[in-house]
Amino acid sequence: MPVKYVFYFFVLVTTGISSCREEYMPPVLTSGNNFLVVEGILNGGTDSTIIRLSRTKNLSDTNFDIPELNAGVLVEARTGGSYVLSSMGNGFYGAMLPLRNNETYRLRVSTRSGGLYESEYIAVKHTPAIDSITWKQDVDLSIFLNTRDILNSTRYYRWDFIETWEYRSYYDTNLGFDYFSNIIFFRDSTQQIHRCWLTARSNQVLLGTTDNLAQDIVKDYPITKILNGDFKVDTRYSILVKQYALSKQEFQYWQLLKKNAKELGSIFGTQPAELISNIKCISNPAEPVIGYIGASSVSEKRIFISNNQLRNWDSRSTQDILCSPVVAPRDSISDYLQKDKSLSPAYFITGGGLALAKNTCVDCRVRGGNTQKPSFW
Amino acid sequence: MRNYSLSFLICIVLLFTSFVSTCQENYRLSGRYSGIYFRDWIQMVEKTIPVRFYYDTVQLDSIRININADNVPLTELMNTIWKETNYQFSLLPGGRGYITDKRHPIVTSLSPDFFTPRKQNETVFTDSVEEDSPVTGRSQINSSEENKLFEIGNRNASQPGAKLTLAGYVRDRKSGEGIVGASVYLDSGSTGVITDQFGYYTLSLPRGRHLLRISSTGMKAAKRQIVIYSNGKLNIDLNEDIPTLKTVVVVAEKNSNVRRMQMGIERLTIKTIKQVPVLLGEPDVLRVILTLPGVTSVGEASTGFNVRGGSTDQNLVLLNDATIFNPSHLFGFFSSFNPDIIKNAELHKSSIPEKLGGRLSSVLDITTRDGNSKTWTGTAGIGLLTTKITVEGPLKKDRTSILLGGRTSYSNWLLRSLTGSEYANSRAYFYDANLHLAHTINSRNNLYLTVYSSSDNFRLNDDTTYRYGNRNIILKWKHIFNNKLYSSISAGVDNYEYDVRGDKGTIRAYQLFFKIRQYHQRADFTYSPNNKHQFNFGATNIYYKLNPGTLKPTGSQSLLVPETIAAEQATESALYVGDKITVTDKLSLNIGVRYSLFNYLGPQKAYSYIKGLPRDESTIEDSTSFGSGKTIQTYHGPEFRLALRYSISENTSIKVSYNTLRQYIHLLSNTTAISPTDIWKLSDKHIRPQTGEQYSVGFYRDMKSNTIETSIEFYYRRIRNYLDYKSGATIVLNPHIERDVINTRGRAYGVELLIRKSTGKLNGWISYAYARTELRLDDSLAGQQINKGNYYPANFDKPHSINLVSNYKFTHRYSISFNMQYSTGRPITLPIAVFNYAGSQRVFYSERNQFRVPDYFRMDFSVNIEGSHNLKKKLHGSWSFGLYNLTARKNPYSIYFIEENGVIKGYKLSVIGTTIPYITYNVRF
Repeated sequence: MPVKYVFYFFVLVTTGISSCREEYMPPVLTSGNNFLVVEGILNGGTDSTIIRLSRTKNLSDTNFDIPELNAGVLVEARTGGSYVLSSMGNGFYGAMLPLRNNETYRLRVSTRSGGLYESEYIAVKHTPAIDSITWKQDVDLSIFLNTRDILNSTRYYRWDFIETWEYRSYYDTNLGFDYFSNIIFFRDSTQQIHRCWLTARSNQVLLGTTDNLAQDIVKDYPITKILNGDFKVDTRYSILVKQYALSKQEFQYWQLLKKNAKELGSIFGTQPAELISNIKCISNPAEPVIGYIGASSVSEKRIFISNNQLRNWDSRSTQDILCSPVVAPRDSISDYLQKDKSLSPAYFITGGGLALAKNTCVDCRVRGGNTQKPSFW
Repeated sequence: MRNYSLSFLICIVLLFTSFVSTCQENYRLSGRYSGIYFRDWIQMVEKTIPVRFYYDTVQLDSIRININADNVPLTELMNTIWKETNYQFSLLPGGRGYITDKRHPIVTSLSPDFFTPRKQNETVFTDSVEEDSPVTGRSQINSSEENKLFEIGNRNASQPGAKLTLAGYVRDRKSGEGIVGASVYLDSGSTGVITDQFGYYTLSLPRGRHLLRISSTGMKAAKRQIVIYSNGKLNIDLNEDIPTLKTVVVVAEKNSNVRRMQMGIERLTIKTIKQVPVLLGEPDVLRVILTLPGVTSVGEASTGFNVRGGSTDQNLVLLNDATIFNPSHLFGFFSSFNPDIIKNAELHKSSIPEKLGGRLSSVLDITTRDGNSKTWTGTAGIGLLTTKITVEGPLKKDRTSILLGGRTSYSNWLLRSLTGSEYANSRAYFYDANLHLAHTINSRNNLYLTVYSSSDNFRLNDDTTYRYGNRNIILKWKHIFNNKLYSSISAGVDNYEYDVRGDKGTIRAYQLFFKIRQYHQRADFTYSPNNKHQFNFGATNIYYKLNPGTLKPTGSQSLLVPETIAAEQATESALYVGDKITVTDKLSLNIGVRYSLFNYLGPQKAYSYIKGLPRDESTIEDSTSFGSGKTIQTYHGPEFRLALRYSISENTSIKVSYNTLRQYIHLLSNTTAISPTDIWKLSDKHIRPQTGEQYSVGFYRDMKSNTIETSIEFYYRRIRNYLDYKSGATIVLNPHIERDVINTRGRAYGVELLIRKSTGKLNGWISYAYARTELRLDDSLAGQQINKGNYYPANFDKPHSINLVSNYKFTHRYSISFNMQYSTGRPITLPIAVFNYAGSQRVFYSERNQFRVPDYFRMDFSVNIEGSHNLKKKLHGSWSFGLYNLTARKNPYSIYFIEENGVIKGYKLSVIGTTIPYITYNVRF
């Protein structure tokens, strides 16, 4: 066979093997799977019950969140009586509910589009108080939880937390620049941008069980870990841990949810998990509903950790290079600032000129926080 | 014209003869004899009258006759003697008397030297003729093996009434290799046996004269005339069926499906395998197996095949009795068996012999050739994908033969040479090598050594490299105690390992390693006391050593923490006994039982969990460390193998079988990965052995003088303790896999239809199978339900499949092949939506296996040109041109989902995305 033809065949073979990967979206995935997502618990304690309603989106949708607005949300007691959760906007519905421990309740949702959803009847669980939140630093900072139920009846726990921390910008300045009037101004105490507080919710599912223990005791459960140098403990850090008692089914639902990570297509990935809700769509039984409604009281505990309680925790020196100043000559300060909006005035240089630095080094708000001191601080 | 003139000549001679014979009726005979031997009487007659008699001594010598004559003319007396028989007498001028077969009277008169030949395939004996002992001294005329009378045993041995046994090998005359599955049967048709894997047969028959017929696919049918006095041996050499230019109808293995005892068995010879068009012209056992009814594969490129709704790990793949854990090359596109060394392949689908076990669905038994023990020969092939070479020959003539085969791909070079293309980063490379030695120590002892190695290395345009390979060695000793009893004893090591490397150059650069090794020994005995019974019994033992996974960082940047899952070890032993019983001509039975024992051994740390609760980190009750060799868990149980065949008529039969099976080793397959990573797992304290039972019924009918074979088989299987995964299970590197798997109960049922035409210009088969496999969670410890506890389709559930394989021979040199394959797409669990919950974005999956990937469809076509059929030519070349996947359909290899820029995207990977032409050249020397 002449060499030319050999090559021709080879090329054909290779094109055959190469044209192999193409996008594949089965019809079911593009047909608009907007199932109802219900998140929250019926709060049997002294706090409000807040339920979030949203919709699932298609795999290829880029919008992050689709709240379910203007729905009717109702909590019904088995023996009669119901409470309305009123809309708080953005898909949140809430009310203060006087739930009784010896009663079971269910959630009913009617959506604007006519969908009717109903949960199973749920007993209200009592959540024991959190014994303590402790922390330990080897290099990084770890935070632990201890709790117990002397009645040995809780057994399944879930936690989430809200972190709040105070941090400061690299430069403490009282200067500001007004882009409209093109002038440098001085900030008063209400306009300070040096001290900020930032609040973040946990995005991990924290679950624990004492099913295998003789006593219902949770000891040193790792709540979170903060890597050394994180600006969370730049100045002072606080964590509010909330504890929820779960039923066994609820616990299993959360376990699956936890495993259903988005790690797809990888050798080390997990097998798909099927989430079975305790909420059913009454108007269309084939329609899946996402979320598991539980009912319990909530116990919480807050602790504070200051930077000076930790060893070798330096979140500033990493900014030394980033925050090295640019000097603007006195006559062209506004030109500099107008031209490069990533710079802010930091301090006047003796003998003329203004030191400019990156916004993030001057204005603490750039990193997401706000200057309003929280009430509990 | 030549034929015409010949028959004209015969006519003339005939007329002449009948005229002459009427003129010579002057010899008259007298005498009274009762039960005299014909030969003795004729000797006396020859002394009294000047007539010399010519007859078939083999047939007539031992006949006794009664004479009561008083001056009776010779012709009249002779006509009386032969009246009731197929023989007749004619007297020719010159005092020559002929006793000939009535059905071929013409030939007697051609020449006195042309001695009463009989046509093949016709019965000579009639029941009314008594026979006793033959005389061989005068069978001087035709000395070919077929017409020769073989005397077996000692003439003076007296074993009155007893059945005698005849045993020996059926071999290929040219290469000296034993022929597997050849049938050896008595001409009366009532008794017959099939040769075993060595070509050995044992036949039980009464003392006296017999005609043996021997047939085998691809070989010329043969016969042997024997007279047996006591137990003896007869080796039979068969000639290859080289078609002459005139049409020869080959009826080898005719009736085989109808007559064969076992059901659901598919036997393929390399000849069949080679004519099916395949990808890039590589003849392939597994690809042909996949065209049989009831056999499917999960994807175009999956590692293995599914038989009757069984998973891939439920098939035992044997190469000369060595277990091949991964029988595929290159994403499963090719099987790892070099076609040039294969003699045949047998797939047992429903009645699995009691000798074999350890898997639930099927046994694929591949036998290699022994190598030519007479002369050195070889083959070589050049294709687009591989080059292969086989060399075989005698190390010592007729005693030791060697067969060496090797095959390697150069696709690596091919992919690499295309620099700049999208696939410049891809590579794929494989090889396999075989060594087979057969040594005859003496007529009673034979040794066989098989060594096998295969390896694959591939990377398809991403940075993950896969490498895997099999290595096997097995030594077998066959010993013949006597004609009735022989044994085969073997020992060997089977090894399979893979490693995966990925994320090269990053902090997560890893190497994942897996290995399984088994040391096995077995002793098999076959005892054939008579033709009614054939007993098989024996024992096997396997020691498993398994490394479930080792993760290592690679490169200087990797920060990965090394991780090793503790090795597992176990023994699996079994004893078995079975009997093949021929009750009558029409009814035969096979009854077998196998008892297997499995011990899971230390060293191992075994956990125990709170009873009645899902196995979980939180439900650990205790952990025990077991020392090396300590038994952690034992499982044992019987397995029954029952089969029955009843012939309704000559060409119709019905077969029924019932099997139970046990399996102690499981394959866990990561179905979410782009390329499946499979892990074998032994049964342990928590993972119980899989058990299965299968009922099947089949009807077989041959039509058009057995050239068209039809069958319909129904089956119903039940599987217990089949492993499926919990939702969210991790399979790779999971030290506590028992926490992530669940036991399921499975059911599989289906119908298989097959129409096969194996002779004639057009041959091939068409098959249709309806097969369902459904699983249901059957585990109180599951903790959660799958599909609400209802039956759901298994990963390999493909209800409909249709296969067409055809070959049309224009002449003996030119043929075309066409095949077509269709099957329903396999089930898949889809991520159907994305939602926000508990602070992050999550994926919502459908119920398990509720959707299906697109159907599979492919058509292939090839043209095969054989070289000259001149036997004396030194080199025999053949060409094959073909088109794979004529319709260029992009059949899915895998479907997977990955997150890209915050959006989840689905991809379909079809490794073959277009029509692929191929050309190969093979040469035999």
